[in-house]
Amino acid sequence: MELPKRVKLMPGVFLTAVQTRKFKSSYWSIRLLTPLSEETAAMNAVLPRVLRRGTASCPDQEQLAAVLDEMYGGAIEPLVGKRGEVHCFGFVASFLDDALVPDETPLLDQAASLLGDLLLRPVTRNGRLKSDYVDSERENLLAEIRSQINDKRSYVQLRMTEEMCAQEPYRLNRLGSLERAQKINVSRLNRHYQEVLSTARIEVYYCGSAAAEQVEQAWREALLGLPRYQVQELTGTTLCQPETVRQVTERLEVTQGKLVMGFRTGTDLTSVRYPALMVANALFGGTSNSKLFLQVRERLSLCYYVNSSLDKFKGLLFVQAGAEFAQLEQVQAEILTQLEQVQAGAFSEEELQAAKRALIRTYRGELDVPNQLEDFWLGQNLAGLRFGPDDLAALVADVDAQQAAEAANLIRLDTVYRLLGPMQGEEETT
Amino acid sequence: MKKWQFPRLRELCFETTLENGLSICVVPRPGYQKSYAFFATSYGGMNVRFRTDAGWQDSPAGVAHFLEHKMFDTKDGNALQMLSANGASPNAFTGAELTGYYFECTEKFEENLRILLSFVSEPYFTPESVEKEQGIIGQEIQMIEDDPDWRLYQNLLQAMYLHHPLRIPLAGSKESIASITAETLYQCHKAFYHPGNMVLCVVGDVNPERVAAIAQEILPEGTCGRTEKDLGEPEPIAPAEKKTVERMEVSATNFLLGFKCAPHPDGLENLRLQLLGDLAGEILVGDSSPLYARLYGAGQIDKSFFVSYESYSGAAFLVMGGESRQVETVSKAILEERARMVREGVDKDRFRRCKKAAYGSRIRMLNSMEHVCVRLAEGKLRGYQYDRFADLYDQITADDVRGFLEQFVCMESAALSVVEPKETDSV
Repeated sequence: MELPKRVKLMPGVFLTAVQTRKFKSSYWSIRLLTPLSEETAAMNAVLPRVLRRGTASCPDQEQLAAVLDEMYGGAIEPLVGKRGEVHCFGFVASFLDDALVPDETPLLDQAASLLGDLLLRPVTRNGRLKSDYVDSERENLLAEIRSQINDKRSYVQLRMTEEMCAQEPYRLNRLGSLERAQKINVSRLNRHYQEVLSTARIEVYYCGSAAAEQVEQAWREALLGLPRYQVQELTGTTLCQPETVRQVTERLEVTQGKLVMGFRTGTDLTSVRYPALMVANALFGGTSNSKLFLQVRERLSLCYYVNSSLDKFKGLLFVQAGAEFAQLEQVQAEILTQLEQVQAGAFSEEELQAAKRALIRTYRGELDVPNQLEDFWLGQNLAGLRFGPDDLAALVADVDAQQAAEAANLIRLDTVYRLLGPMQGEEETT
Repeated sequence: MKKWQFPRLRELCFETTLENGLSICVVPRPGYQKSYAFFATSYGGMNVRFRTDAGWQDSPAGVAHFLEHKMFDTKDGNALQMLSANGASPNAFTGAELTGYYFECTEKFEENLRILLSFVSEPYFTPESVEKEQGIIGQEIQMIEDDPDWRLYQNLLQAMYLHHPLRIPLAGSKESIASITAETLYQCHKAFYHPGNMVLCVVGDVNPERVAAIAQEILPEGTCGRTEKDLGEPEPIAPAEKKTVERMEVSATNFLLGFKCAPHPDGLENLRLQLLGDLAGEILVGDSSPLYARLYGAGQIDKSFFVSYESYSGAAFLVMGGESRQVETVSKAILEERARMVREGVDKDRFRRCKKAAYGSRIRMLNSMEHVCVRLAEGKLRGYQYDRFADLYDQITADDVRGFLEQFVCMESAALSVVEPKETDSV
């Protein structure tokens, strides 16, 4: 594919624009990027939600919603996530593509200006964010942090991250901690808002039928008045190696056991070994042709699900499994056996080809899905890489068996986390 | 194949019905890397009682889902692995009245399509593999039973319906699946997996004629039509129970408020009623409504709040809910707002905006190949072309919405499902 246009709009503010007529919608994002830190995580998480409540010209939900409805049901969502040890927060948006708008009033300028208003021109009282919005969004954030325990599969992943990276910023919840979130108030948040607005790096993105020049113009106008003062450098994410293997066991009222194993690879997306590491992960547990799926789930019937995934920014690999409590030990042993197989190069040419094909399909497929493409380019922009999903697919195609096995040897166990049921139940069954 | 153009959507659709009864829809997407094929049967979790040549048959709860798991087994191995060895991403799901098998791929499309059509139409079960699957599905059932959202929804269906088989948990129970044998699976496959009861939808940079030719070549002959299913006795407007409450290990109270609506006839009217029900929900308490703004502003609902309209054969309902500390207050406010709209009529300007928003949002959804395939397949099975929604919106009026709210959204048709935290004193 043709590379997207990349333009510096202001100090520390960059636009990535993809022009295509493939989609029914245009896809937008504006993300503030700061180093992930305990002090700011909860405030970063709440800020887009507060800003999303109202702008100077549409001061409440109802008026904002009316404007979006009038724009053929445009959607703007506040978002917060982490990419390695970088905290990303802001908005993603999607509008009917101008090529499909019936009355020929293009939505482009209106969409950019609405996003600009949300970030720069919120509704205020006495020059500050509205305290009732801040208070209610703090409560919503607290409720969301508390509710993270409800989905056990993602909850155990959060707990694993906290335990495994206890000394690194990566441990932090993307929503921040309950303690910090409780302390949010209008004066703290207002100060924080002014600070990140002038110092955070900002990435803006557009994908749709409009030409890059028009998009650039629309964003420039939308961001007029953005203060820029000493833009904070992103220090990047540290990669390290495990020392000893940690074991953590917890109990909750669940009927199925869960196992998460955390490994370190010391290899991130900028490494020349990264394509080979992805192939190693696909062979090990990343696909439905992988060793974990075929051996541990299908052949041995040890668990309902088992798979592995990579965090490309932090160079971590996680294996997640769900099984009967009594079988977790055996599941863990089998997972390690399968990893040793990949490390020893004990996989067939068919397994290797299947692993590579699955990755190639994933990357080429990202070109067809607007939000995946946005996420891909955010990652590339953070890492300073300038190649597209199809180029990455080509790098994967070149990986051979030896390179994949070598990359598998970068995978080292760091932490094992187990979730069991309540104590009595366990005693009765053993 | 017949070519349909939908210029307002910039969409084309090629359609045909093969002699064996299979319906085919192909949506070309030039310039796309991916192709997506979806092969579905009009059979799901709620279809436990059905008619064959031998008369009415009863089957255990959970067979449709069990079959979905076992269909991937072939004489020579496993279709999941055959497809993924080609780099395709295969999967399947079981709905209340639809089971769909699909893959997406960026290479070897025709070969993958042949594999898909073959494994779904050629059953291969052994007593050993069925027994093994009972363990796997048993675990899956256990896992979903731990899921508060699933319980909330399942409890609502059981509160709303006295007879309709939506009451039956889609995957069955550990007990019901224990009685499933290879023989059960063969019988249900025979009843539902013949081309006349199935649909094939493809989206991607593909040649529609080739898709039809491959289906013709691979699938069996046959002249059977759609399989007849028992949907229970007609439902009264009143729910089986007004309220159901369950306590689980959750951080906060969640609720669903459902309103039983009249089932839809087949044909384009089915789609029109879906658009209308959807629009009525948005206008009543969607995120651009004054009521939503008021409840959200008062902290009585949060971002998790949603409203949606669902329709199945013999059943349709409007459902709304989310996390809330004041379930009764929110429910009461919704019924009051409905009464106001019925009394004063629906605000014309808001109606126009909501319709515009619904129109645009539905078009945006067409980006998703999976969404397109599922919508087309549902439409084929219920006798309409999904892409005609753009024109149908022109016919829906504010008064239709008022009439819908008056008729279906009321105290008499309401059922409430609540899941509460175990230790209420700590909240």
